[in-house]
Amino acid sequence: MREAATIKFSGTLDPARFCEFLDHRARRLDLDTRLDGVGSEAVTVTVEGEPDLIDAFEMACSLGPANCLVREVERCAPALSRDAT
Amino acid sequence: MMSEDGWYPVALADDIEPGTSTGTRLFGRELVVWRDITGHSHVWEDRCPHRGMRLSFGFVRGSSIACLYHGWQFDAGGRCRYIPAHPKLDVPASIAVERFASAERLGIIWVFSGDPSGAGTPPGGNAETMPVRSLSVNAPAISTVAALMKEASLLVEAGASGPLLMLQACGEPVYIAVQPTGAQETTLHVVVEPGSDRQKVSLWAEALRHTLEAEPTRSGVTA
Repeated sequence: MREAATIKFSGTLDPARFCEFLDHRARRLDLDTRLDGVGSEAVTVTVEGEPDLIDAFEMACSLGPANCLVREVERCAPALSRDAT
Repeated sequence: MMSEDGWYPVALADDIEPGTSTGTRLFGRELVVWRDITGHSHVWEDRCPHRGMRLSFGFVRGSSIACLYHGWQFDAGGRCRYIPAHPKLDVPASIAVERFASAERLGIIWVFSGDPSGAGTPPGGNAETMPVRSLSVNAPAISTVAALMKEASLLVEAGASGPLLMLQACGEPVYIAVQPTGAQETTLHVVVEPGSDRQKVSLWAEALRHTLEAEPTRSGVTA
């Protein structure tokens, strides 16, 4: 059973390093990802895959790479894809 | 995986009984050597992909090895098949441990460093042997081999295919497989032909270690 979730990681982030970290963890957990917003204060990503693995992804990314400090994680309903009606 | 392609010894085969595991290093890289219940030996990266715990601390369960930390179980192909915290999860193939080509020969477990398609077979032919012991030596592999060749008459050198020496020592033919554990550490795996006096060779090997560690080339510094 695959699900989708949009997760916003807020804090003090190195965007390039944090996105690289997200991508690595997503590949390890066999999740599809789409970046919805990237900045030094927040990165928002939509992930799709097994619900347990989405939880694991959220936990892993809340720790973040060494030069990023995640202060808040917010999970919201996934944004509608462009071709959704 | 490591600095120089080729086959390297990592353990005496008899030391890894079915259902057990141990940790070792090759060129500083940590490896787990384990044997499943069917008798097949495996050499993998000694690191659970979950939280980095050494798999050598884990438990062998049938043909799988389970991490001590959270119980993630990996099959003989290195793939994670079961996560106790998520028992219904169909674990994706992306969660896996890095494996290395390995084989047993001369009563020694060997691992191949480099592209496994060119691995061939470990050195040493198919001679039957008996294990003596493995010894850790506080000296680099290069100076250890050089000193070994001074200490005993060399019968056979395996050449580029692997660090295997056959020596005539204390009246017995002795095979010594040289494992470059780290920059300043070497492990010697000693085996002999059936019928040899293993106790005598074991004592010789222990004395040899003292000699090797006293070599002035150790750490590149004259004592």
